[in-house]
Amino acid sequence: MELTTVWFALIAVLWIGYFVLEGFDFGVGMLLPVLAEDDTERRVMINTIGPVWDGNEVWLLVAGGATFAAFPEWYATLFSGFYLPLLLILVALIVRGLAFEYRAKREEASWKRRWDTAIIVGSFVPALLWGVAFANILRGVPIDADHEYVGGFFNLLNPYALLGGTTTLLLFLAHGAIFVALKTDGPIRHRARAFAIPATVAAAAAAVAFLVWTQLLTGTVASAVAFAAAACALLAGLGAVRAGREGWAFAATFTTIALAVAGLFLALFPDVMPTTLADGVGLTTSDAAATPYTLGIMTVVAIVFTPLVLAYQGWTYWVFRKRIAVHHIPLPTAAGAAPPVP
Amino acid sequence: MDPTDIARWQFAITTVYHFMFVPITIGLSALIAGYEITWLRTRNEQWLRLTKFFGKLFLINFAIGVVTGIVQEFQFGMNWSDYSRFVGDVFGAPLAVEGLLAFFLESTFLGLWIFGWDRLPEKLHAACMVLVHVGTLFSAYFILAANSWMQNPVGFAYNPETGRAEMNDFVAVLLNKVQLVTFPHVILAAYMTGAAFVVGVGMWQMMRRKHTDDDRTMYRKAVRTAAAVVLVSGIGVAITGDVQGKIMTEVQPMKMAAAEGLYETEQPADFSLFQLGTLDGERETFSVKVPGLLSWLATGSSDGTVLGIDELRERYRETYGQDPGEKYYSPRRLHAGDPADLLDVPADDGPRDGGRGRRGLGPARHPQGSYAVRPAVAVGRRRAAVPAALRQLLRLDLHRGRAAAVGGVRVDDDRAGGLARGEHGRGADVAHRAHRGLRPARRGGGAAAAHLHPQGRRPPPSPRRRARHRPGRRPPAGLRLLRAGRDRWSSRPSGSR
Repeated sequence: MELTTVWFALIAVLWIGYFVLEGFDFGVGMLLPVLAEDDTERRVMINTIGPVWDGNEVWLLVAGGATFAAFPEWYATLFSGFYLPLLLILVALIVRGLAFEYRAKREEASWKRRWDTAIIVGSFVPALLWGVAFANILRGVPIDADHEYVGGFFNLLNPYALLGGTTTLLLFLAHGAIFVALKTDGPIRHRARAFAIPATVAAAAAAVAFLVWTQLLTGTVASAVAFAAAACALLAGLGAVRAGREGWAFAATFTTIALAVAGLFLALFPDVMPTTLADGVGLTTSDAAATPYTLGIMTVVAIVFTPLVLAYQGWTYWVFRKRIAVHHIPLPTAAGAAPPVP
Repeated sequence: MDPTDIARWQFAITTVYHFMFVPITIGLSALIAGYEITWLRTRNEQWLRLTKFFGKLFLINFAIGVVTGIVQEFQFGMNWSDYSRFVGDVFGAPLAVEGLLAFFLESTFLGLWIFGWDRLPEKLHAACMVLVHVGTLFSAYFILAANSWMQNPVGFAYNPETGRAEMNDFVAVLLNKVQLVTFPHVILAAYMTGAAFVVGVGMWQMMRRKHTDDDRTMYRKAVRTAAAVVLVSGIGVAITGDVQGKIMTEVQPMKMAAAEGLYETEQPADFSLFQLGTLDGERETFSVKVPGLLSWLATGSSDGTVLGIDELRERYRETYGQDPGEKYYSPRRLHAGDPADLLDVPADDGPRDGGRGRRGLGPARHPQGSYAVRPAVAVGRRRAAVPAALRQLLRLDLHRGRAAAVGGVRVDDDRAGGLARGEHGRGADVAHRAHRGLRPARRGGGAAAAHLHPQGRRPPPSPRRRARHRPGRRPPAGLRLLRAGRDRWSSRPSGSR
């Protein structure tokens, strides 16, 4: 296999990792006002993702960095062309990330309420816009002969892309609800289970519409297989969540997102940024790629370090595998230098 | 302001803001790991309390460092897409490796450290903070390797067919001689900053009335340890900074000469503590100097020769056939296949209308993406042995871009303007083509000045300005001073600033 294909696959893997992991982060953030009824319950929810959200977000950073190194033209065209949506996503990720660290630093209710709003909005915006962005990449955007994006912002908000955004939003909501059900105990867990059922149904409806549309647009046999498998996984997840099998349900939504994203990349290949202009020039993996020398070095680095990263990130999830309930949340302590002694 | 200026401001603000937090977190993570290990060794509860207290302060700083770091990683593509196209093959690799090696390490083990107090064995918990610190060091190494490559590009070749810089030696990129001194300098500075932060916070806590004597004893421990770190790392910062100054004088003599306002080559060269110059940046009018100090700083010997702006400029002209800053270089124009057009775009191409439709049509197609490339400033003996084709050491000028962003200070502006002999009063845009074979035909007289701003960012210079800037014919100093004053106050360029 050519190195460019390997790197296309690796970047797909990085995005899959990002969406399956940060997907439930976003879901938990968006569900903060839905599933939690008081501050302690909100803390329970936030603590389910507290140790891992930052590590999950790194998948995005590495996907960006890997695109820069392996496909500089793709990185340049995509990031400059999608400037405004990316900026919105980045602002959302900034306020969200700060909110996780800052909300507990003061005891005033108004302080916490504001940071909670930041978490909710900061989870909602990227969950929607990532779908919009990916749908646009698949559909093709106006790219001229110089590989420059020449559309505006509203050009990106076409019906297909909005359906894509709705799909990621609903999938992440369902994924997050199931994650909360898996990781908590007590009333939150029950609420999360109850919410997960309609959320999964809605996500399934949107996902089927979006994936079928994608398949008709640019699909291949491989992407059709991936999409069909994703649909099966989501149905299995629905069954599992109805049966109260949270672990299986989570595995199912995890698989669904992974397969759906894999299918999107399969449908895209070998393009990376198709153009909608007649006289434009879209980008393919070979147009956009770095030199074989750079790709070779990056491949060695990836082969050596990716298993290590997967191992210690997996270990983190193992360390924090226990369910969290309200009684685990310590009573508020005086701020400052007197933390509880373990 | 045109979009390029705004993009520069945005990039500079993000970078500076990001780097307000990064050194603190690099230094603090080391100190916190030290406190936790000391607690494990001594079992003195105070070290544990210090660990947790400064751990909290670490977190809120780290969070800002992380989220601004995402922007940092993305804005190369968002703001400087042509730059990214041009250097991605070299520059992307350290960034990707940084993500894989450093970011995962930092964020994963920080999560474990924050939430792992009662889930992990004590030693493993302390090891998590050590790993976070190792992650910050990796991160610093790779991002500084990328930056050092911008300062002193090595391990690559320019490929005229693809119009981009292509890496051929990754090890050379990682072991760049600028990098080898910059990394220790930055890390020691980070230790110094983080420790100074602890000293400040600790002393403040010692002064607060609400604390018991016991607490004061605890904060005194923090202050004493951190003060020792400040002292040791501070000495290290000075030493590495001195070495770095010598290396930068070697690889970027013009930057150092401009920073020192050294017009004539001197031996020994004096160090100016304070300097006033003419408004056009052509010469100095008053200065307070320490004899021989610049020679010592730049060469290590108090009677060493330090090249001045004027001589460097002549050398650039000899090497490249034009002044620094006379032309822009853009790989996209190279793609377009017209070498004559490559560096030779009229400035009066019309104002940027922001209209997307214009892109892809001639010179106006890079409203945001253009970047400056300066020639290799390595001069003298090394230069002579290098064939022209290898002289394409491209120096990519994001840093100069940043200087532009803060260049509202008139003095900077004028002094920098001296770099390009005032041709556009803005040294930050000093930019160059680097490909000798593509040198356009020299134009007569001041016409060259009309091509400084290929994207039409500036109005065409007035005939008067052209005359003033015509190379090789300098009016008397007094006249130049008067004209500079008149330009300054009566006919401000109607440009963007």
